Formats: sequence, C-alpha cells, structure tokens
Amino acid sequence: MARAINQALREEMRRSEDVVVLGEDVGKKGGVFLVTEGLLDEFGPERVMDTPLSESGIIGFAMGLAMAGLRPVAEIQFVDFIYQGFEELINHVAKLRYRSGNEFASPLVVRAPYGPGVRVGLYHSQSPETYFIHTPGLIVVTPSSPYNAKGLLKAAVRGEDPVVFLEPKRVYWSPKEEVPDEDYVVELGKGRIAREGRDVTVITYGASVWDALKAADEVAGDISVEVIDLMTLWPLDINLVLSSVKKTGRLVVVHEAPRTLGLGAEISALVAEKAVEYLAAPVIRVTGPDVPTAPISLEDLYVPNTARIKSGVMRAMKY
Amino acid sequence: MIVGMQAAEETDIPPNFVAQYKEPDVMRVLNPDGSVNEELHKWGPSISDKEVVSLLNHMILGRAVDRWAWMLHRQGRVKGTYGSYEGQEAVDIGAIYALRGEDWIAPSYRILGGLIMRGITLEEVFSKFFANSGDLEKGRNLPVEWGSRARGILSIGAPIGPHLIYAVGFAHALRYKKKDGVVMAFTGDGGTSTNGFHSALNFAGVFKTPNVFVIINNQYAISVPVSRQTAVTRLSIKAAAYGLVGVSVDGNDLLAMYKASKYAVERVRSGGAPFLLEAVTYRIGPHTTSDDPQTKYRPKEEVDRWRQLDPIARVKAYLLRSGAAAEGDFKAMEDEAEERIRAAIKAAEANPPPPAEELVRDVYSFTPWNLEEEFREIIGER
Repeated sequence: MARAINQALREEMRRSEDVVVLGEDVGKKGGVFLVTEGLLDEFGPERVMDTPLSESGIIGFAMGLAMAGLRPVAEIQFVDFIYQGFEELINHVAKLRYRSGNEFASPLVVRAPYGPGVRVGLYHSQSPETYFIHTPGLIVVTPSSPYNAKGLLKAAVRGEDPVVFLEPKRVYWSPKEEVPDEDYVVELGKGRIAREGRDVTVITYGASVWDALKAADEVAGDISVEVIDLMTLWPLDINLVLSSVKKTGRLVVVHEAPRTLGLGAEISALVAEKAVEYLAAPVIRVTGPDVPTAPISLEDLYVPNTARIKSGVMRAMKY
Repeated sequence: MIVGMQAAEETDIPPNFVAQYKEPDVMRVLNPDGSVNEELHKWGPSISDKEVVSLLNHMILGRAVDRWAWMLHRQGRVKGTYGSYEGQEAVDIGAIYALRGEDWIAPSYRILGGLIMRGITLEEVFSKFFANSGDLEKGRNLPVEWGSRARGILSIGAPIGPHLIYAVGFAHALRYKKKDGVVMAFTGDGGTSTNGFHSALNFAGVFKTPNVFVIINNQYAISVPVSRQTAVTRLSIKAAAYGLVGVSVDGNDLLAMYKASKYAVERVRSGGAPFLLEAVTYRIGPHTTSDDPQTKYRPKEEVDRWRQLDPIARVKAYLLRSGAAAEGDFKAMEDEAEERIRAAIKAAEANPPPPAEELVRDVYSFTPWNLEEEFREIIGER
C-alpha cells in the first residue's frame, strides 16, 4: 500500500503543479514509512517540503496553501501527533467554507499512518477516526488495499473538500496487490462489497478488512458472510450499509478504534433508525477496548482479530 | 560585551557565550502636539498631506462606526458580541494603507477602519452586525470576524493565533505561483503567547515567506496585562529568534505606522526577510460588549493618560499645523460619516435573514445525505 500511495502522489504531482507535499522527513528520507520516497528527486524541494517539527504548523501552513489554490498533501508522521494541529484542523480547515459563507475553502489532504499492529506503543498506534468523523466539514477516508489506496488518494487530491486520509500502517507492506499503472480514481463516499454473502453483514474498514475476510473464509462452510469495506468513513455510504443489512438481517461492525462512540455506534444507530424491521439479531460490535491505545505488551489482545470477529459473527447468527 | 545588548539577567558566563538582545526604542514620527520628528519624517517612505487627510477621513469613519456599533448593541440590535476599536485607528489604517491591491490581509478583531478602507462597504458592516443575508459570510460569524476574497481579506475565526499560520502558508503559495502579493497578518499582544504565533513566525522565517506581521499591542488581552503575556518589554524582539526583522512603532502615530509598514511591505515583497511590527497602542473601550474594564481591572487614570495620545487628535493637530486642513474640514468629515452610517444602517436593516437551508449549506462543496435528512427533520418535513 505504501508503494501505491507513492504512485498516487507521483501521478497527481505530474498531473498538476498545484499538488505539493509537505511534512516532517518527507524529503530526502522519503517519510518514515517511505511513502514519499523519490518524490524530492523528481519534483524538487519547492514541491516536496520538509517542514519544522510542528503539526500545527504543517496543517495551518497547508491550509494557507490550499486557500490560495494549491492542492497540498500534508503528512503527519503518525496520527498520534495530530493533536498539536487540532486547532488548525478542527477549528479552521474544517470550518472555513462554512464560516466564510463559501468565500474560502481549504481542499487539502492530511495523510497519516494510524492504527495498532506494529508494536510501537501508545503514541504510534492510535485510531482517532471518531474525532474527524465527528467534525462536520471533514471527509474521512481509510483505504484497505493498495488498489483502493491509490484510487482514493487521487480522488482526495482532486476533490474540493478537506480529506483526512488515514493509512492503516499494519498493511503498508502486505498484503500485496497488483496496482494498475494507469490513472484511475476510487470515488469518495462509496464503500465496496469486499465479499458477497447472504447470512450476516460485517462492516469494517482499514486493516480489519483483511481480518474480516479471513474470518469469512474460515466460517464459509456454515455461514455466508458479506464483508463491507467502507473506505470512506464519512460521509458514510448509507445506501450500501442499508442494502446489505436488509439482505442479511444481521450486522457485525468491526473497528480497531475504542468501542465507545466509535463508528460502530453511529452505524448501529442508523441501522436501528432505518432498518430495524429487517434485523434478526442485535448489532454486534467487535472493536478495540476503551483503553488509551494498544499497549506494546498486550497488543494482540487489543486488536480485533479473526477469532474475535468469528465469535461476533456466531453471536449474531445464534441470537 | 556589545553596547546596549543584554540577556534576561547577568550571569558569570563570559558574555560572548550568552544570547543577547536589545529592547528597541518605539518609533514615533508624529508627536502628540502635531509636531514631527524631523529626522524620522525624512526617513523612508513619504506620505503627502493630501493622503493624510484621506486617511484621517477613514479614521473618523472607523471611530464613528465603532460608536454606532456600541449604540446599536445597547439597543439589542447587534447579534453576538462586538469588540471595541476606539483609540487604535492609526494602527490598521496606517498599516493597511501600505498595501497594494494584490496584497492580502489576515485580520484580527479591531481593524474595522482599515477593512472599510480596503473596500468592505458600510452596508456590509451593518449587515454583519445584524447577521443577515447582506453579510458575505451569511451572518454565520461574529461581527468582528471578516473574510472577503474580492478585497483580499482572509477569513478568520474567534480563537486567537491560528490564522497567523495559514497567513504564512497563503503567502508562500503566492510566491510559489509567482505572484507579487504580500500577506499582512494582524494579531494582539495576547496572540503572541499562542501556538499559532510561534508556528507562524517559525515557518515564515524558515520558508522566508512574504509576510508582515502586525502585533497590535493594546496592553490588554481582555483583562490580562501584557506583562502576563511575556517577560520582555518590547514584543518586536520576538522576531529575532525566528530570523525576522522586528520593529516597534507608536501605534497611535499614523505617520510612523504607515512609514514602517510601507517599508516592511516593499522590502518583504522584494525578497527580504519577513517583518514583525509591534504597534504600541491602547484599547480605550472595553474588550467587547460583554466586558467591564473600568470597575475591574484598570484604573480610569490609565485610560485618561492614553486619551491624551489619541491618534485622531494627533493627525488633526498635524494637519492644522501644516495648513492642509481646518477645523471645518474635520467637522465636515464627521458629519459625512454620520450621514453615510445612518443610510447604511437603514439599507442593512432591510436585508432579510439568510434562507433556512443556509443552515446546512457550505459544510462541504456538496450537501451530504445526513445534512439533507437533518434539515428535513428540523423544518418538519420528515
């Protein structure tokens, strides 16, 4: 996935001079996950900007670039550091179009690796997507695979609205997937059916998609599981969610973020409001626990793994 | 030891190993009695008496709008809270007059006179006060927060400081696009304590962006005096640590504000380091319509002392001395301001509130399904 994102950036930067990249270590080093590797050589320091170590500076500076017509892609080294730029992101980037009566907008992309699974502790493992979903004005995207990462990022760069692009670092380097060299976009606001099924719907996103697919595979003899990969967390693809739930009548939501007020809570509420008559079982949530984040020592317990997802599916089936 | 340089306090460390700074003098061209400092008057960009007359007109208009804002607020006709402007007119009018058409302003609260000079109409001003559809920002923001693309004014929100950093990004983008514009960003003395101020000056220094920062040091951030914002005396010395040029200017002196600003703007435009101007002034009125300074945190004598340094009186005295204007001219300016304001209030009051659907527009470039749904529920069309 890291390579696919690199390819997306490269293609968008070739397409338009307005696209610039900025962040800590994005230049010579190519980013700590090598997502921006080689961009400096091809596009030069005016378009690939190493910045001071300041998240408020990176996001605020990128906002100014966007207001003036550029299409900045700002990297926050780990999403866990983004709080220092929260004022800029939540109070200004997200609210600019609304507060200015559409006089100004800040169509920028903030990319950040997120999520547990590589044993790097409290400040390199967080899943804070709820903060962004809860902030009107932001589009929140989480790719799950190299193919959709490339297409989603290209769509984000070309869009008119600010996008928080959360990259599940657990799947940066595997699974691998063939990514076409040609130009394509994956439309924002649309999820996909990652695996078709009849008996129960598992809605998830990011790295958990792979765990859900594995779980679906393992129970395939007995239960037909439909796996929905949201890709865009907000605005939610409500039609896809409802059509799947109406088909299967059972729903399990899986995410790595803490359970309370996670996206699973909102999906449960929406399904209860709009499709309760189709439900044959309560909505089950399989999520990270409500702890600060995955501890290095017990990370395996934190991450919703295949066994827990299967168990969630069984609970939905046996109700 | 370098003469006049100092550190925060003396130590036993040999002085050449200690970072040292110099608190600058405050640049004043125009004395309170209307006489000028001849040497400084000759220095730098010049300004004709005719231009000064026109700027005085804007100062008078700005002060009159401020007075009307208070009156209307007391009558319950202004929505939200309004921040006072009286006594600071020379700062923004002098500084903004130094800008060209292609330049941009990242505003702070108390620069209304300068923004009107920049093209915001009086009808727009009062429409914003009334939060109706005559406001470019659709009445969504407080009556002290302005943004207008056509006038080169970047939108701001209420939190102090963060606008400074996007003003730096914006300036960088102008240069990236090979445009000549400079971005002048205002903040107050309280703003110098914020994360945004630090980030902005640091990025501006590192990327050498075409920015001029103007700190309106009006001595108070609501009730907290500037001595609680910083342990130094002159805010301009903060420039040194970021690789910027710092200058302190008498903010009640229109000529000094213009000359320093013009010099800074043109120098920055031609590729020089960003500038940090400290305008030393005083907020004569309360912080906002919900503040009560006189009984709580500052003595009346202090306000009276600053009234003696009134920027408008000073310009009038200057013009009387030079013979470029007479008392009758000032009176005519004041009368004209009143007349224009009354007409603008009448026009602004006729503007309807924004249509209900504006509640859910402009959150994104499109209106997503959830907002459509929420709106239908709000207006009872579920």
